[in-house]
Amino acid sequence: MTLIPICSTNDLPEGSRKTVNVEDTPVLVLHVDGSYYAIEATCPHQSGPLGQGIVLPKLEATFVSAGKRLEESFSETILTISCPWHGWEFDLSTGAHCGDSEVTLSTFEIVEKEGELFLKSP
Amino acid sequence: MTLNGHVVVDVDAHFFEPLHDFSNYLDEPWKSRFSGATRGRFIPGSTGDRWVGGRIMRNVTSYPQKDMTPEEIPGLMKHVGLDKIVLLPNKMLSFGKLSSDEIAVPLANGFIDYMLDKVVDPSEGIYTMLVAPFHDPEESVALIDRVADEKGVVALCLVTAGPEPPLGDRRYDPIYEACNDRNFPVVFHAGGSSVDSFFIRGYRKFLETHTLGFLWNNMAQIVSLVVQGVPEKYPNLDIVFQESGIFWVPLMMHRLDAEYMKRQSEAPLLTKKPSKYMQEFYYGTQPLEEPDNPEYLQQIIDMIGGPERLMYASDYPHWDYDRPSVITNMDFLSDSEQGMILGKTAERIFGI
Repeated sequence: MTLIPICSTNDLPEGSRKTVNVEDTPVLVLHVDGSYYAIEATCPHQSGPLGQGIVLPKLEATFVSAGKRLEESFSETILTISCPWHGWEFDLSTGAHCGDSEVTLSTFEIVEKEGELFLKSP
Repeated sequence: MTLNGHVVVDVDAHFFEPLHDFSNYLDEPWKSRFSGATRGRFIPGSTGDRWVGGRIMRNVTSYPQKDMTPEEIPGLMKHVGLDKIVLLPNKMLSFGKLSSDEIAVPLANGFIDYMLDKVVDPSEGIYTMLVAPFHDPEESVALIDRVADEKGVVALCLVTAGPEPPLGDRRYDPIYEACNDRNFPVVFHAGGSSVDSFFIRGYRKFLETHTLGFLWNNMAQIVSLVVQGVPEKYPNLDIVFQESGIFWVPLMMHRLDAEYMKRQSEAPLLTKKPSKYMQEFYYGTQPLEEPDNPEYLQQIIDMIGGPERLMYASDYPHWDYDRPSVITNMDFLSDSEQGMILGKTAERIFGI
């Protein structure tokens, strides 16, 4: 396991993002709702720039009963990022495509030490 | 009878019901309206010259010259080589085109009573499906409750030509729920009524309209069914699609997957790609595509999920019917796989 320095916490304020390279692989690092996320930055579909994608809570639905509209709501625990080219949407924590968990991007843990952020590389 | 030692079950054949006889199974005022009506007055007919100017003929039944009689069925089965047959009343294939939903409920009730009384005979391997008046889901459920336990009624049939909104719409949930709870399969069956104008007008030959008409029926409905999450809402439901061949299935699997991967949030009930659900459905084989290179057929079957997803269907006595030999001609299938398609899967799914 290697700790790769990213930047200071001051350089990645809430709502911001930046891309770093991990062994030549671009990785997107985001600061959202008080948490840091790191996910491969290239969409596996047609190599779109995930770093330019919108971050949203995952839309979830519950089937209540026959004939009724689905109850749809945004997840309180799962955030996603969508590739702006074609909308492929990934769970920021697990890297899994929201519709097909067989398509999964690598994700990484972000560690904060004395005001500095590091990416844990396996 | 059997073929190569395999029981042959035809999951889709048709009975050409005489309206004068059938009308006795309707309540008034429909009984009077029907018995005095010109043929096709209430039920839309089908278009196009099925018989290619007399080139195609049926010697075993009187169709198309006149309606069939129940006494003709054993001869029909012997001619095609069937041990068991699931017969749909032919005019019910126009169900989606009925001009009034008021007529759908009495017709559906009358047809199933007629079929049970005059046609169905499980001891002779003769079964039918309950064609649901999907126009009225509540009445459909009442009808399911009334006849689903009849030994001769093997499944619910939803005609895919015409229903609007399409059949994945939540208004039909009670129908699926009733079938799911009863372990009563649902068969989606394409229909040819008004095939010349179902999607596009102006084709000059029946060859053109028939190439697409039935196919589009099923394509339109399977999209709705999957995207609206019917298999997630009702996971025990056995779903069967019939009468569009099988090559369309991988096409729709891959198109739906491509759309879904880009727009998953529009189908939030799904937990996997549409193709994965479609690989859990069953498909009647008729009219089976017969490419010169059988490897193409083999690949299509692989994409659908394997021979266990298929059930032989003849569509007899329609003009483009298939004989059981379309299955035994598939040399790439093992004897056991051919047996599954010819009858074993149908026996299991339909409980016959």
